[in-house]
Amino acid sequence: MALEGDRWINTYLWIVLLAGIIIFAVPFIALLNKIDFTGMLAIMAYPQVKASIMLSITTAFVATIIALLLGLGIAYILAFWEFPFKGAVDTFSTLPMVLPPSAAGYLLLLTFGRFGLLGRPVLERFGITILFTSYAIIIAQVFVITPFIITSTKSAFLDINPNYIRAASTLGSDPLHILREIVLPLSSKGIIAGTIMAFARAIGEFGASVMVAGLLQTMPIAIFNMTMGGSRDEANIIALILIVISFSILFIFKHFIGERR
Amino acid sequence: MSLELRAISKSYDDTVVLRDISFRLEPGELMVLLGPSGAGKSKTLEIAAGIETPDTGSVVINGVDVSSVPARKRGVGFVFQDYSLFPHKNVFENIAFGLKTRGEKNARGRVEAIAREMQVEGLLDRFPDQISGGQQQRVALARALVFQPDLLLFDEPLSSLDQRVREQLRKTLKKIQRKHHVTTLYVTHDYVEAIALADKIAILKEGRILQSGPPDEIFYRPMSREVAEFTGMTNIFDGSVFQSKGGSSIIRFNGLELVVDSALPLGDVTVCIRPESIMFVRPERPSSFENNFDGIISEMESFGSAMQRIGVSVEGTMFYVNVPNHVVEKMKLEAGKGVKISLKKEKIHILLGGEG
Repeated sequence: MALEGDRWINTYLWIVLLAGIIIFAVPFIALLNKIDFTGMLAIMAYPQVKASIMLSITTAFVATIIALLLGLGIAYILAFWEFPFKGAVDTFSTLPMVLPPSAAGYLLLLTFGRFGLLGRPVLERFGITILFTSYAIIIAQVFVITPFIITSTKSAFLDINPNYIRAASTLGSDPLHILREIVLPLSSKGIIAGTIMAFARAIGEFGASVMVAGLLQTMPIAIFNMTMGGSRDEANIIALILIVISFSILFIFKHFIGERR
Repeated sequence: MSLELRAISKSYDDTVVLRDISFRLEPGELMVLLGPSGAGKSKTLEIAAGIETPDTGSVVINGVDVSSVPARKRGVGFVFQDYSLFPHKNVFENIAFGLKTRGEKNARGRVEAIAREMQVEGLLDRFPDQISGGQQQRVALARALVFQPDLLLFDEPLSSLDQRVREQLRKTLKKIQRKHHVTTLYVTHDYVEAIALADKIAILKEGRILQSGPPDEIFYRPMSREVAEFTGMTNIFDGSVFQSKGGSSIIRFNGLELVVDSALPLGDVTVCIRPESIMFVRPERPSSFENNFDGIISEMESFGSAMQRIGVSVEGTMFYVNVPNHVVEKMKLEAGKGVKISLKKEKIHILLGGEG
């Protein structure tokens, strides 16, 4: 571009650059400045810290698998079925992406809590406890991340030339064969990209899970609790781990998107 | 294998796409569905293939009603306008696709054989985006032919290709169809393609068959003005019969007179003359045909690779004439030149009164 010739534009760009560094880079430097690298391994071995890492990774993993199973089917229905109020359903299915997570968590409380809609009539009758267990965390994460998989999968499905599917069926393919040979291979990049983003979001989920997690702590919840409780060293390490995980996921994602087409 | 469509109708919401479509193809026959876009040609093809289901009516292949048989079990080869080769599979895998679904053992041998026949044997390792449009369509044809279908369906297969490749591929296609003796239904909006390929033509417009029959009948004896216009009948005039006796009549239109070889009732008629039925004759020579006009060449335009379409103005009425390039050169035809055109009375087709 050749906009740098203008003095005002130039000034603006330099200000932006400086502000960008302050807003985006300095916080990371602040964290690195606080971290006691010599005690790092010891802190990571604290039961509380270890537990939060394990809980985050396992819940995010399970939630991503559930979200994938849900998301693929919902994406298919939204892409290819015709039904009344489809537009509204489509919007509704992506609502959790913009809904404040704490509101989402509150909705889950109203559903699965002791006095919730499903609490007494269903769960209590069968002796099932969901609230304040890792199941609740998984449900909260699924609620928040499924839309990521739905949107990217749906657009991948819609990108497939319908004639490919027609051609395959005239060539003798049954629906399962078409799914395996045509639909999944041609939409795999979109599905994988959505899944990576969903996993990243699940690892970082705080607002919805904190409402239903009770005493359990995922990494983001642990950071909050430790900060409030004054355990700064632990909070520092967990924040660093989260940053490393997020950065790696984004890196993989970008690399992946870069390979598209 | 024969194919028969019986009273097929199809609508979407309030839009009727096909109304009461019926026709029959004999084994080995090639029928062209000719019509403007939106006429329902592709829909008819998709219903024959089983990709679409009709609201009413039935599809009969070899005497068996296959209306409820899904596409994958109909054994029909389908060639799409956009080729629709699977982009993630190479040429070999594309061609072999229909053999794999049928559990065919000797896939490699058969793929190689058909690839040689379609002249794509050197491209088997390439992916669709690495070969040209013409090559892609050859591969698509090989993919549709390799499992020896009972029926071949073509949906405007040549319309995205350029003129030269199109003419080439049209010849290949005709040759292959004859050799394999496959019953074929071919959709196009190009009447030149229809003449080149068809054993039988059906003219489709607004979901209805206007006329069907052998090409000669469609092109030289259209039943309506609509059919005439769509099949490249460039000279259509409204006139009236003012004299009729002894097996011939005289028609007057735009102040000109025309002798035709049948006794027609007096009254309004539509005159149809094909552009290739009119001849240029040297003014100094007496013409052996009944109808002769003096005019001036006012338009010239290439028509295909070997013809010119020439507009001759005769006292304000324009006659369009198709002439091979070598005749244009020999007779030194050019815009502004005075010429004499001549027309045999048998070559004039008349639509009576209300039919036009």
